[in-house]
Amino acid sequence: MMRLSLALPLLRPLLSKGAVHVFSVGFEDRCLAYPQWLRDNCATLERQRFVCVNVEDRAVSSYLRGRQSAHRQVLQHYFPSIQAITPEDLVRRVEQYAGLPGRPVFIDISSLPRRYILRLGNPIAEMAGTRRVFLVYTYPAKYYPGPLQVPLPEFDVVPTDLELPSNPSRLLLIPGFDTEYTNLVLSAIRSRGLGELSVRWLFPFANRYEFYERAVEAHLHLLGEQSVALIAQDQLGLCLRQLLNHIEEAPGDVFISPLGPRVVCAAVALALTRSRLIGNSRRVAVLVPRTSQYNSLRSGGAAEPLLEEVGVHLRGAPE
Amino acid sequence: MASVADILGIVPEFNRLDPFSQNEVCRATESRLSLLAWKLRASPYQPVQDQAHSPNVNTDLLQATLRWLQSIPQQHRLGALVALLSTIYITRAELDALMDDAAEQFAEYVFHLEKEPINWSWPLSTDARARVKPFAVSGHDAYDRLVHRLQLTGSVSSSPTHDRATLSASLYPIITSLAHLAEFGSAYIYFEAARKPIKDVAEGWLGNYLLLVEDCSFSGTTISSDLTRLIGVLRALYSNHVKVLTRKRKSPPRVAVLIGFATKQAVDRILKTVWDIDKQLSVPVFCGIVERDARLDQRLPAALDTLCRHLSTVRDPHVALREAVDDYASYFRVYLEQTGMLARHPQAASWRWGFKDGGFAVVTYLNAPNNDLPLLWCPPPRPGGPNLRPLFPRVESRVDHDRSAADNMDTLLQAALSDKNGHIQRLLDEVYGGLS
Repeated sequence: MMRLSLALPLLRPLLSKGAVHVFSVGFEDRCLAYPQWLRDNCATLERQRFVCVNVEDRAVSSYLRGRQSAHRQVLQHYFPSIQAITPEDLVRRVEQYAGLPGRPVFIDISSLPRRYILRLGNPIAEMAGTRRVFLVYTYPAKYYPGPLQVPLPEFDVVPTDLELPSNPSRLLLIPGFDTEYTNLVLSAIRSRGLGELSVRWLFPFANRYEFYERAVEAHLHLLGEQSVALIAQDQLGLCLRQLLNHIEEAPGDVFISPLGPRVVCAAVALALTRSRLIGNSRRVAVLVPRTSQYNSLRSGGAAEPLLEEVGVHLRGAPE
Repeated sequence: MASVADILGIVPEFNRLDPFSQNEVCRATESRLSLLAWKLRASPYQPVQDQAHSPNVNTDLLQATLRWLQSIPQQHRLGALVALLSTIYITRAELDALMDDAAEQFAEYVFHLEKEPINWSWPLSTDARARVKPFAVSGHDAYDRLVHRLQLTGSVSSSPTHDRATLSASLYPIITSLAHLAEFGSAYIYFEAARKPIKDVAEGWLGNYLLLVEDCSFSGTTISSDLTRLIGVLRALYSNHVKVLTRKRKSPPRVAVLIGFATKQAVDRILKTVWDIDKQLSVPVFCGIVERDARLDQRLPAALDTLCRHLSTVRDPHVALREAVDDYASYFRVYLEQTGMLARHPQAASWRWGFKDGGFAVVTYLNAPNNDLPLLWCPPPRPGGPNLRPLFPRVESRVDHDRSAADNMDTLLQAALSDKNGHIQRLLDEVYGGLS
């Protein structure tokens, strides 16, 4: 992904004709970074369409909901014409607001819950045929030490339960630094009688080196002598190709569990779609444990937003 | 067989902690050393791989650490341990991943310059791949693997001599030929032999991407020097012929830099070098990681927070680190003298935290950079120094440290650039005039 300041020469001509920008409102400061950047750098705001995904989640504590609400107000103040939508509405409304074919779409996934990011692959593939599609992601400026979130023994599954592989051969496990989530996935696999399933550890790697090391350090007792592979968390195209290779190498159907940074979910979503588009014989499903309650604010501020054109990675695949 | 408790047992500050804090410090130390040991198992530190003496970091990290600390004065062991626990060890797989990351950014750059072709195949289309000319800044095998993954031509190891395919080695015959042609023109006794490589390069590089590839850059010194020479060569070859090339729809090559692991200081220096040469010139720098610049004592990793919190009750680990570094400064000074750096850099006399006072603690499986804390890599002189073997001894391998060859190239390049008799100009008039 490219820093927005570096991408500006590429963006100017696109923004000058007008584009659709999809934000999501979260309780972390970073959800405002891309809107703020647009306000400061886009000279043609009147030609842009703004859509805001409102995520209502009862698992979010009242304090954090208050922050979410404050962020929503800031967005409305920045862009009075902004349209609020539900996550379920995301694809349909983006299409609708896109208006003329060819108008590029920018989707900020910084605060979009994983389960919705994971469903973006197909809509991106559909849109990529007629317009350019970009994903925007902002890292927090800093992380606060504090309690980690607690997972529920329930899973979000993509595509759907109905299409779940009944006898997957491999689990592509993308760990974060919270071993509770990893343990939950591994025990769920065992409880489904899939003990023979081989685990391939894929550690998200690159600019957040400290987090990568923390994730490995936390999982050393689970890794033993198993080999690990690295995936490029900040290069969605490269990450997509790496995931496709891992899917291709698997002897049969595959589960993917993206527990690391949220941005990796975007590459997983693209891999799900691309795998289907290229007619891969392996069935692929994603498992992500749900969180029981979001009650700790674990980050503050925002780094410079990053951007990557993702539509190009889904173009040209045979339907 | 040494344990973490044995290691901590010889650190006086640890013995002054209460049992609860000792346990916490022990846990944090064990966790960091386990990570380091795991990485070393996956990717052994090459400079000690063939060493018969045991233990070393590859064969037994805990025992090697214990021996290392035992040979350090008691009052500096805490500082040395903090340096070791802060060390980022970059494995072969990590270095490859960093270079892939940077290569992906380069591919995006090329994709946009090539007007985003609809049938582009990632990372590089066949057509673009044929026009990317990679050059290793130093002859490392990570470069070979990257070139192989990107399916580019040009490998350092396939050459008859290892150095031949580095940028420096590739530029040397070009610069020499240019200098001789500038001086003697067609009267040069080896005129044809000198003319041919110049013609081949001048034509062959048109419309190409010249990609300088380096595994790690801490101060940016080597890349900046090489880049300066490359830009000099490009000026000699193309700057007086832009009009004729434009008329023939040809463009001089673009230059880009790809680095796996770079510091901000290195990136800034490279960009400044380009800016100082030509403010209109754009040379993008793509990096897998850009590490903040700050001496280690000003940015201990967050992974050491617990350890520091408990140890601070008896002694500030930052102060302990500074004092250990100060104590080691005399050995580092000997290194600076022996490598001639003291003579070349007058300010080097005050350096204590490594080359240019870098203060880094980053070791790759290939080597320890001299910008790291000397404690980690610099052996004391023999005889006279203590029997102390650093955990990550450095191998002085880089071509950039051979200043005499570099100085010679710079002198030759100046002669070529001045082209006082217009010989090069005429030769290139002929070359570009013949282009279809």
